Amino acid sequence: MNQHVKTSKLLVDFALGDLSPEAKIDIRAHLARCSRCADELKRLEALVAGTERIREFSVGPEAVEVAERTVLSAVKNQQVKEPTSGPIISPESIWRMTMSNRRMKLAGMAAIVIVVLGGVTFWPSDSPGNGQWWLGSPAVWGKEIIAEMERIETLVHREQAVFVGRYGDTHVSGNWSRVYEAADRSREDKYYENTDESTFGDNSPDSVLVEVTWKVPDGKDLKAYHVSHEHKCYTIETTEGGAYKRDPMKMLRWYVGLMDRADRVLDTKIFDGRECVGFEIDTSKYGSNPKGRTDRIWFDVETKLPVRIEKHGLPVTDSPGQTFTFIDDRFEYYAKIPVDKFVPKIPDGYINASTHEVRAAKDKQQKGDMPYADVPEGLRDEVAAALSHVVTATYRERFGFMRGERWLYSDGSKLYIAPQAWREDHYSGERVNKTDFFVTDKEDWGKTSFDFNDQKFKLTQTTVDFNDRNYRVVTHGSKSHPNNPMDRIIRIASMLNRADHFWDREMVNGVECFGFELSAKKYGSNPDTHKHRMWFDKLTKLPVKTEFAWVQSEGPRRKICEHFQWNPAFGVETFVPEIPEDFTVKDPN
Amino acid sequence: MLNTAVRILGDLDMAQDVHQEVFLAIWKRWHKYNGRTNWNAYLYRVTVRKAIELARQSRFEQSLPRQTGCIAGGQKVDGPLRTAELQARLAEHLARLPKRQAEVFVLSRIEGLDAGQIADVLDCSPKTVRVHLHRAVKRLARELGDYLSE
Repeated sequence: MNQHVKTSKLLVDFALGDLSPEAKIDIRAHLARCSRCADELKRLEALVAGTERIREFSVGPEAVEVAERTVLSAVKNQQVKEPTSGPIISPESIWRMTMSNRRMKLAGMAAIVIVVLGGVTFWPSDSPGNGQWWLGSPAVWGKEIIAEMERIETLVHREQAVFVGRYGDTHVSGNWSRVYEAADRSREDKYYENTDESTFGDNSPDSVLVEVTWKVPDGKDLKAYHVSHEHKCYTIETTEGGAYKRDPMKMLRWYVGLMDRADRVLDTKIFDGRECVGFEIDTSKYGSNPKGRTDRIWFDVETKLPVRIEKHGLPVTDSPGQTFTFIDDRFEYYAKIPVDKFVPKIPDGYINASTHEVRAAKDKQQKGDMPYADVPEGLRDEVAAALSHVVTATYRERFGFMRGERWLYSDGSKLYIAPQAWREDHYSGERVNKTDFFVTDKEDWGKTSFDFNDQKFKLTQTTVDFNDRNYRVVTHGSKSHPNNPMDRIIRIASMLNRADHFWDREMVNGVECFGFELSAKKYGSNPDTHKHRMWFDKLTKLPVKTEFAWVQSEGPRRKICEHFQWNPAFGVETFVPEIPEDFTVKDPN
Repeated sequence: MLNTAVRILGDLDMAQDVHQEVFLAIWKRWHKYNGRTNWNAYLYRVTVRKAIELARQSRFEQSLPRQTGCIAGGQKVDGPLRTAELQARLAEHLARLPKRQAEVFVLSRIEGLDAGQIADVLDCSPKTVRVHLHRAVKRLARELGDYLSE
């Protein structure tokens, strides 16, 4: 990148005073020679100075008085029109409370409801006129609900998962279960449905029953029968002395008991045609859960019984950056479960083997022998842990092809990676001939996957072509968008345990590394000629080089990523497309 | 809130409209709020958004706005007039910016919040804030270029 383009990017930071003294010296040196940049800086600084003058501006006391009178008058008029709206306390008393609170005054926030609600989580449960029992003390309504639950002896409910991608985009799992629970036995029916993400469930004709698990007492023992209809096999396991009187409502009662520690009450929502009120709680408040994970419990406004439990932010083992939300819903209380539901049935012809064994045998039949290397125990977890601390990265990528006996490589590209944005500079020699910027827009994203609004997801790709002197902007939605390149690197690294070959020591680009090779046929239906290799720094456990090799009709090909820098600091301008003024817009189509 | 609205709009009457509208909106919906709402962030956000929305809807004339009882401390004799003119022009151009860029610009350059505070108000990351600010500043400097060069 030449000095002019580099400087132009930093001028905003210069005007805002966000550059280091050393960087400023470089800029000043350039400005002395470049009138265009000097003029641009002058305009930026004038804007900054002007806004600082505006910031000093404040209204006088008479304007405040007028504003106060106007608001009180408007609120009183509103109360006359709609007597049941608004807080119960009179506007004047609220205003006086607010204005007497110095902190509120200084903040300039005559926040009526802040003072009224400050320190008060719920209204008294006998609060008139609103029927919103959940605003009352959980000690009162919680006891009511728990007392009701103690009469419930059978329960049927549904369990399902929703995967949440790096950007908060969601993908409903095709697997879901219906669970039947009674005092001393249970059954889980696992289904698979090819969801279109708008509908899924037990009534869908596309749901296929793939597995059933019964847990039933046999004298003092507990027997678990697991039948896989997908693989036509079964296992029976016995837990000696494991039979006991279960309590189907134990978990739900426990959740209700947590409600006095809830972080907030959520707006009501409709689930399965019923209006429900939700409570949200940080899971670090119980158990040994990490901070930042959230559970939500939804109660039927009418019956007060739980309708849905969401556990957000659960990690996906092989995909750092991805989480899933576990949902437990469609509770049927006092369910009348036919007795034969709990009678295990093993179809004729099924073999006595675990699904894992049958799957492995099928894989071997279809894909042939797949060697598994001896990988040091715990190494994969160390690699995953190292990668989980990566926030930003840069690396070089190039493609290779064979000409005769030699490998020839393209000039390739340099990638800059951040969690919500990435950029690829494509090189021709030493020169960047094209740059792709990918930036996600997180406007209005909420805290959990179910606050996420697919309609508002936006990944903007801006391609600036320096050869053709044009640029193009494409907006991708949540259903189909390019993926952050780090996702692929992390995914392959997480397959270390499945390596075909592993080696403990090899010098790569001057770094002592360990490495592995993995055939792509071990995931999906890929040919054996597709192979991954990765080398990791023995010290840091972070990738030093990756290679993907495949064969095309024209011959073997390779993609190599190397010269990684982990967690470098980027200037804010790195992912901001800088488009020269004389470039034309190219139609995205 | 009143000061924020006046700084954005440069017009006290319009600012008082925003101020009243924000309070009425809270009053009508207050039963939906709970004790854990971040009121500081919420009120900032609502006030800024309503002011920018009003700027979009209004037809801004180029005449200087009327300001009653205003204080403009420490400025030269023609300072208040020039500031008021900049406010009017800025409001016009803010109304044309993408919504989020306008919000970030106001909270940063006019209200003086840092990236972390703005991220808290707008419920996004500080990095997103910096990107939006960068774009807003560049665009406004370009669009107000002739005026700023005088």
